[in-house]
Amino acid sequence: MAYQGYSSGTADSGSTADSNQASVGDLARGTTETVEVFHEWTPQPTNSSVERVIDIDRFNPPDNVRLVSHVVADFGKGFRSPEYLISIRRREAAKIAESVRGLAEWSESTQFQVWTQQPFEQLRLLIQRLSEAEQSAECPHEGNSCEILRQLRDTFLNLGWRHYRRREVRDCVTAILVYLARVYEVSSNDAELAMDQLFDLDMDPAVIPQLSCVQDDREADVSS
Amino acid sequence: MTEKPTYLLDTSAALVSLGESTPAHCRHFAAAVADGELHTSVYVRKEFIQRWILGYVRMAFAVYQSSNVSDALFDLSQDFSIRDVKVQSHAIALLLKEKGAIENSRTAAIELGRLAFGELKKFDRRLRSRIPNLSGCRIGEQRLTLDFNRFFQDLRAFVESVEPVEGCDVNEFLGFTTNGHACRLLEAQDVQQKTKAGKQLAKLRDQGKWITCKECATIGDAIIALEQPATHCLVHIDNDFKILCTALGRRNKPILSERGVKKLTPEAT
Repeated sequence: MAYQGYSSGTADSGSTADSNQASVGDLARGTTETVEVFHEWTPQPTNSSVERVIDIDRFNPPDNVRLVSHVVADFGKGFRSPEYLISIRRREAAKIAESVRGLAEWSESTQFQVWTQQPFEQLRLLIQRLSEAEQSAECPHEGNSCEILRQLRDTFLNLGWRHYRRREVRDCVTAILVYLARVYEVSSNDAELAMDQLFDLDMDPAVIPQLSCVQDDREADVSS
Repeated sequence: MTEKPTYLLDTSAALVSLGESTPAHCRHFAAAVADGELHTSVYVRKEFIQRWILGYVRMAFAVYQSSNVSDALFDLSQDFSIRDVKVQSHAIALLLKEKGAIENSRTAAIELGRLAFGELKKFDRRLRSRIPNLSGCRIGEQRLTLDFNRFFQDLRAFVESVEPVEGCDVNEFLGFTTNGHACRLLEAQDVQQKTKAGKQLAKLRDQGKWITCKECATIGDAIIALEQPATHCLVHIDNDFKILCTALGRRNKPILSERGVKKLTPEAT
């Protein structure tokens, strides 16, 4: 993953003696001008540029200019840490639970799909946020919670949103989301249990495209 | 009071029973079996795994290892044959787009891989009742257990668990050298001449072949028919089963294919 987004920088300019520049090695002879640039990871990276103008003493110019570029990863690491992602999952799952609970008010509406769009979109965004953050994680932590969120998202697809008119569906989905908002760790058993619960309510938590069934020249003749 | 009939579903019929066809085709199937109980076999589950589940797994890994999801799907569509998962790349791409996962290869791979889990779960939930596994198929008994924090490792482990078996009990079941089930089936009229599985079975018997999963896959219809209990009626979309079931004195119930239903009621798709 490329770092992006500059948020702060300092240019520590000034001449330093050769003896202080061991890392620069033999190239650094005489006086050295050091320019430091800091790049910090940000939660929502954007492209940016860093520019520094250095005044050179024309009567005593440095023999070398040392450019030091620091990538400060701690900040971004925090935003990909399991603890941070758990807090995001818990907070957002609670909000989505509220949205699903709120569907009760519109369950008889002919425009019901307009209202189911909100939790659907919230689910999509949370999945995207968690899965992108976990992409470079050494040890994924939110895989099972993402799976449950994907199951819930799929229940809205292919006219699945209609199921949310039913109170038992809203109650079940809300309970699953409240669980995601409460626990620290989500296990594979939780993911399997959620899928079972959704299947039990005749919903489809793993929507696939319509497939053509295998058929060939041996197709059955049902007339006889 | 008459007893409910028990239906044994062939692999293609099993797929329709999961709702994986056009609505009209699913309705046609549901009407045909409405009066009975649906059963399947470990062997049918094996065919389902090999044709569909492994297809999704393979797609997941192919997409994961590509820099561009659309290109990977195009390459895959060139690769899948008619007997494999006939997933149109366009339909898959649309679905991934709808799920918001078309931009990122890893996310798209997870979306595809999880379908394997969901589909197998659907199969096991809807078709819980199984007839005895007379052929001794081991692949069809494998479970797909996924921890989504170790998603790709677990998918790999599943693929490993369904690798072809060399020393399978199917050889004993068919009994090429002991004048067993397969030989008796081949003695029946039309089986060798008019069915693909019969023709292939005769060829393997004549060559004295040891049956591994590779050969077994070419005689699937014969195995399904040989395993069918007398109490069950085989539901299928394939004409060959009419001959195979008749030869074995078993009942069968053909249903229309998706194309057949479309022809019958062009507007109801």
